[in-house]
Amino acid sequence: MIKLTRIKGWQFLVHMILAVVSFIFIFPFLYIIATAFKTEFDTFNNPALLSLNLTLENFHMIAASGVKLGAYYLNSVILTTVSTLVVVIVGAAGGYGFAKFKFKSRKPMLITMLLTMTFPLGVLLIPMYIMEFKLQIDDSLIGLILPNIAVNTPFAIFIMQAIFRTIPDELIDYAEIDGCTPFRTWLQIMIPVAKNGLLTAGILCFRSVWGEYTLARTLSSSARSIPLAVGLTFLKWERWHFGIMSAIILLAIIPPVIIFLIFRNYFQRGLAIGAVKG
Amino acid sequence: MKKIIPSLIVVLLTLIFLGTVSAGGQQVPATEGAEAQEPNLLRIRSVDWLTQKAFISEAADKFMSEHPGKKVTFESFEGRDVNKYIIQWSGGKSDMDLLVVENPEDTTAFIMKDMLFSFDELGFWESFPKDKLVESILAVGTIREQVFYLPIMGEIYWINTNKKLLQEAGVADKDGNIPHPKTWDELLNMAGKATVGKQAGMSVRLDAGSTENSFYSAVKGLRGSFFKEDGVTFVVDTPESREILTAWRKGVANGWITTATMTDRNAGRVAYTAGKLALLYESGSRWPEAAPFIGSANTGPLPYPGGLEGGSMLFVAGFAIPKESEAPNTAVQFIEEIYMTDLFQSKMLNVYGKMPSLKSAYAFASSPEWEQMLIATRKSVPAPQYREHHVFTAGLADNIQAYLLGKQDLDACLKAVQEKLDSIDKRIY
Amino acid sequence: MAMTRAMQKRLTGFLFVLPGFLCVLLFMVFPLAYSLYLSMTSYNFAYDAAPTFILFRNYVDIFKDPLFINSIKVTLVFVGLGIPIGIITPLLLALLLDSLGRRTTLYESAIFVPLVVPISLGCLIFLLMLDPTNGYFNFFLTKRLGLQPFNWVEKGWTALLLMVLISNWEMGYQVILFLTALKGVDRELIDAAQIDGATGIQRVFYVTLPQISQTTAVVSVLAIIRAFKIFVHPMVLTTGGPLHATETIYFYLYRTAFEFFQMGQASAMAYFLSFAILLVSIFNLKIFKTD
Repeated sequence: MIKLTRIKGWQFLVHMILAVVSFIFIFPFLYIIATAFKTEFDTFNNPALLSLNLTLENFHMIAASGVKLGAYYLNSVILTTVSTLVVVIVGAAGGYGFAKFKFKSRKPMLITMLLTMTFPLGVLLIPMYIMEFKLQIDDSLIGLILPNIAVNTPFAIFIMQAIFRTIPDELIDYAEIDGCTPFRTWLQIMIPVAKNGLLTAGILCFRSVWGEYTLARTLSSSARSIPLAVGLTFLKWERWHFGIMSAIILLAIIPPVIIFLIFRNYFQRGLAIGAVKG
Repeated sequence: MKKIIPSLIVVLLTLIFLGTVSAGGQQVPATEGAEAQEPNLLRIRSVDWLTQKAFISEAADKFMSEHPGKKVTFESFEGRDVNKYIIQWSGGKSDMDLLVVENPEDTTAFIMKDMLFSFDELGFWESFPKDKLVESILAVGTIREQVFYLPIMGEIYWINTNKKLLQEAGVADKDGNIPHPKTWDELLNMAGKATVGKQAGMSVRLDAGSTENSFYSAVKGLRGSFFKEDGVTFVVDTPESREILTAWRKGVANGWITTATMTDRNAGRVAYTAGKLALLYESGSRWPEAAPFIGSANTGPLPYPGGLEGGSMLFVAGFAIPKESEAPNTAVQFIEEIYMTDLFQSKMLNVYGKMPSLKSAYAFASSPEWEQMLIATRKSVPAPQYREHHVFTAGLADNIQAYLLGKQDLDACLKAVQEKLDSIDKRIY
Repeated sequence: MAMTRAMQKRLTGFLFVLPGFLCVLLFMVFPLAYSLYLSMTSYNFAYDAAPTFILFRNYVDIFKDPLFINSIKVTLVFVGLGIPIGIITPLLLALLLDSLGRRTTLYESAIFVPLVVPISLGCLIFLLMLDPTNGYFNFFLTKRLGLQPFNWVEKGWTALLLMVLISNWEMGYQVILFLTALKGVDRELIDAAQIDGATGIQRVFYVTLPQISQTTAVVSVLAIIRAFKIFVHPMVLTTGGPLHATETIYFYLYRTAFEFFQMGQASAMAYFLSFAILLVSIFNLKIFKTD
């Protein structure tokens, strides 16, 4: 614990600052929740947060619009869960390899990964579509999962290798003395210690894939594989209807928020454990 | 050694893939309309907003109930992604049997690569006489005498009004009658009166994609045509252009015309539907759209200067049938039975304000105010489909925006636009 | 076959890295290679039958395009503003959080939760809030504070500034990365410094910061990459306006590809962007002396 100062007044000030900052960060959510339940009249004439007329009509209108939200939701869930699992596993392995081992092709490999992270995907859309079309995986979930894994793995590796670096090498030595194979060392020693790093990488990957729009828009064409991020934009013609837009946004962010709330506890606990070990 | 292997794999894979791609890039000759039994499935792909405004879902249901045993599925797609179908179709496959697009320009590439059926070769006109359709709208989809793009509905640029606000501003009389402005100065004064504090009285679409529409519709109104004598080249520096732009600049400088549309093309429409904007100069379909929010007695169309005499710019949404379609005849049947009916066409008119392509549908218009728009529609033409059209659109918008914001003078603006026009590839097909 | 311990170690490392590397290779390499090829061609996707090879002329031509130069300038502004806001602010927040010890769960969650929202939807939320007619901000200004309503995206510099701020709504993960690193700092060193008479600020600068330099390196590289590649925000919030004031390189290249259909030029711009980011990142890493 870094005590910048022990004066109680400072503590209070810090709390105040953080409280204000937190409020600013959460405000957009409050706005969306409030607006999603407003009537049209209120969205035009009463933009204040609190409204006396709460209604579910926005959600009714979405359901009636014929947009295949159910299918899109399912696609997003499958796409995101599978991609995230694979990315986290591969990322943890890759991060460990880069952090703790020195081998000849290390630098070029690292730079290649960095390069792919820097490249704007927009230009790759047509070549990717051509490639998938030839392999006949266009407009399919696997056709979306694979590119998403490719896009998010470098980032996960980057984060994991930073985390693994902060773990002292002695732990590896102890494991070796105990007779562990490198794989077991990784699985049973390193991973538990780096748990909050894994969770960070996982949550970030989840969020990146859940909201991924550019790739999905080109590579998917029907309810077979269109994820929520793309499907929701089909409702954008109601741009002036803030109520409907807010309801749509709300529907889209509920699953990630739930995931976040579930894992938040593990996450905070992980951070705390890290502090004690520190 | 370990460094070489990955690199070798990379090179090898790349060569293989490049090889397959360049082989597939050659045109696979379009399959002849194999007249074996067509599958009982009609797959439709439509631009997202058209799925709603063309009532695709209802159309599908109706067709299926009238033809048990046939199935109709539909999917939306994002307007700009139309070109990825080129890849599909040159590979001999198609995800869809019927395409519903918002702009004939989207199909230009397909037509050039000979990937679409013309409705003539599918025998559409054998059971449906051409003169049932509004001529100016049908002309949009006709290339070299053949119709490749069957129009569903059209839109023109027009002024949408909020009569209540105009009454309060003293512009409309108590019956909601608004004098037709003869010049842009007149219209500007109306906008000025309707401006309340920081809320501008009028909105003109001034974003990168729509400035061309706003500008040339206005030019056509005053001048009768936005083309030179050759009928294909845009005019640039004319007395009408100057009158229009000068008026707009005055409006912007005084806060009577909002500049919000420069970044957000929907800003005007949002304000209009919220009942805060009096004059909305963009697609003329907004006034019925806003009726549920502002009240149908309060909304109505108004011709911009010259609109009734000179016409406007026409935007047509339509059907296209790819040659790779597995059910072209079903598609034709679907269109003829469901869309070329007064029922559907008048619904699109009355609910969403889209001008039907079917002449008879106008008899079912819910309001006599559609008269004026039909008159203009008959005189309207679409923008030319130059190969580098988008480059010009962007350049025009840039310069007009700069002029309106006071960053360059009118001569420089018009000169720059003319240069842009001269520099682009103006071939059509 | 006898492998030395060292060789075994190297092989192990390689094997750990291999799956990830293969994933990336297989799915990005072909599109990237094809893109590289395209960047050396002139290819109007809609009209041309096939690309025509013109070697490096694209790379020269794009620099003759004033709009491309403009987009470079705009992107640099983003990066320039993004560094203080995207690196220093999270660091400050992390320091504040760390100083409170344990009872910070609520704050951390609040700062982190915006990350849960997909970027495009996040932008949409702000777009709604900023709407000049119906948005909350103007409502707040006029009704609650009695000021004039403001069109946030009317002036170039306000739009740019706002966009940088909005894109940093997601600074949560930078905060967490810093916080994790801070928790790993050796307390004894800090206490020792305190005993030696160092003030709070001095302790932070001379003891804490050096210890988290690796994390700082990672965070800054990530922040810079994100600033260079900013795309969704200009697309949703301002479509590059007003008058190209918020047109970043990625945005302009996307337009070139999908509005003007010039795949060749767009690919060249993409590679330019990529190498620019790469150079800056490597430079950054060298500063922090990590690899």
